[in-house]
Amino acid sequence: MGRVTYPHLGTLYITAEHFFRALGLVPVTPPFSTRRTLDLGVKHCPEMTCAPCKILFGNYYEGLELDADRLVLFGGPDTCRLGYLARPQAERLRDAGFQFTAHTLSLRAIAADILRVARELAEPSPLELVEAARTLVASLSLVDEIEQESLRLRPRERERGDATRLRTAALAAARACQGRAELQAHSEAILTPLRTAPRDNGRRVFRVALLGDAYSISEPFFNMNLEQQLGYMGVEVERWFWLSKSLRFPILERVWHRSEIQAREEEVGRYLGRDVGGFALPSLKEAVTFVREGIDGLIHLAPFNCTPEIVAASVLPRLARDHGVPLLTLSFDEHSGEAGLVTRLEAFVDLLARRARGSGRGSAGGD
Amino acid sequence: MRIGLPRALSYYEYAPLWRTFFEALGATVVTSGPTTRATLQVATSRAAADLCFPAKVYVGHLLALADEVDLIFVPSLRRPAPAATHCAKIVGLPDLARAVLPDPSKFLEVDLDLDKGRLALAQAVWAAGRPLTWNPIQIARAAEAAWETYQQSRNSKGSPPGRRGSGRASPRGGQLATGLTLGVVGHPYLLRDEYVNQGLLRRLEGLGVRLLTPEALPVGAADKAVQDHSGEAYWAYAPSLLGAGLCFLEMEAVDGLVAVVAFGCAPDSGLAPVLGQAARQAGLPMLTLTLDEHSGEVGLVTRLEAFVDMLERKRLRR
Repeated sequence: MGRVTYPHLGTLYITAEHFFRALGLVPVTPPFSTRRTLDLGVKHCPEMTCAPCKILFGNYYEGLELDADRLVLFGGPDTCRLGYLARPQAERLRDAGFQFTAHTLSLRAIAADILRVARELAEPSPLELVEAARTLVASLSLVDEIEQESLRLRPRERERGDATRLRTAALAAARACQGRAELQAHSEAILTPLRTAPRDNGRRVFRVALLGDAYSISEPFFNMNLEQQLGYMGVEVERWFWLSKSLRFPILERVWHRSEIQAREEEVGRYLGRDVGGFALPSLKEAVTFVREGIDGLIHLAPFNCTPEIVAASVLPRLARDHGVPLLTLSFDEHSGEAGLVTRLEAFVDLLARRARGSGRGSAGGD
Repeated sequence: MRIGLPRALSYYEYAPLWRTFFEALGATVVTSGPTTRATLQVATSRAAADLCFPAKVYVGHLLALADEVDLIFVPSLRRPAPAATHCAKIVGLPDLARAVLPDPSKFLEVDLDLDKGRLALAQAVWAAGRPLTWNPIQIARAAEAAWETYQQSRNSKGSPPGRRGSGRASPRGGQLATGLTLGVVGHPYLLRDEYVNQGLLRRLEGLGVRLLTPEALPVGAADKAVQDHSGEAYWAYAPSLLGAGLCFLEMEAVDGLVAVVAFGCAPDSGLAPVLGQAARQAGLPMLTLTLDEHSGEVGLVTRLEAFVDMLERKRLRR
């Protein structure tokens, strides 16, 4: 049976395990990213590639060390330098002595691409493929729901660490599910502890949206647990990017909310008139939705030197100013220090608190 | 009407095309002057801090033109070939322009994506000519004339194939003290902007080296080299760096390569190492020079001299 490995992207490993098992493959989840993962990337990748490329390379390496013979790499057209690098990275791994078949998955068009990759990896019958796809949707929805519940709970938790503890337990339970039937049967039971955990409803909670590329948002090793830090500071974090969302095709929604969507696209066009690759345009579209809904603050995350996100970072200040929403831009690389990050986040939350005192914004209570 | 062309990025390839087009429609075309220290100073104060060096240069030229002309032509170039794409800054150039100069009426924005077919191309040409005339026939004629001029300018640069044994010198000459021939590769906006590359070509010639630049290759040779080496190009600018480099590696007269890249450039970050690997396999030395707004002249001179010295010693040993 084929052993397939894949890189880390937040909680994606749980879904990857369900999906590849449904295809009759043995999933090989690489060890969670550590300093060694990054060091492997730094050692083998060209100096000027971005930090996510290097960490991903480390994931590939550590996954192949566990005797995987198939490798899923992130890449794909219209992405960024990652799209070009998938090929040289696979070559570098072969030079390092690994034997495997390489399968490039486009992060930008994951819904359309995942089934192609599935067919490349295994030779599933149409029925098996449908079952695998349904498992994928069930697993992603559950895992993303766990994440969302924990983000909602953390700023309101009674005891510091409740949300993190419950999240870890829920993710472990989700990971232990065998197949789609179990995922669906247990999902309510898995989510209930997070939903019913005791909350401190007297705390003032600010809602802050994370913008930027999918990797920086989803990978806690890279963004140094930014969401947790913010949660402890009393911030409810909203992500623009959820893998489960990118699998949905909201046709009906597009028809019902047509004028709303058009108005939004028109407004985005004033700042960014075209798709420049990567996640710049989709992230800005969600930014407009967030500011129209009255979000308290925006945080833009990007890897240092990220080509599409620099374009986004250039136009975001104007969008934020036009709507009077505070914006914090954070750029991460392999040398980022946690202390510097915490200081900046604290200053940003202080700013939100001062603004709220001035204008009565920010939501007291657990709305 | 006065139309401004910032002297940066795609200007170095397409200037004859844009110029002929706008002049045929009766516009006065104004080009910003050569890059200077001041250009960069203005740019660094207005552009996002981690914008790449060439894009900052562009911003400087844009701001220099802002008060001089009625409209600044800011093209968004996406795909010059089906499988190759330009980087985010070249695609999003009009958006970057609006971020530093928030007055959309100042820009003539045109989206060019050759992958979208003839209709989209016709629409883009119409959008480009529209501020100057209502007459579609006149616009079509101007576009044809511009295309012809562009083709001529490309063909006049290319010289006959200089495969094995016939490495051709650039028309620049030089005193040929060393008898060394170097292939210098990089994007046109790096090689042809004297301020950006700190007079690199002049300095190398001063060291008595014959130079070959991507322009010396016949049209299409660099594209083909990329195709043969790595299949699809992915980056639209791959031919001028990787493609030209691969062509020079094939020429027997070439003693070494100088790869000129920009700090923070996404395509270069992947392409230069791939070229470096090819050079190692071919047994030819390659020097990678990374340009940024802080580069010191002295450091560059020292590295060039050391590289040329090394090549010379290597040649004498043979």
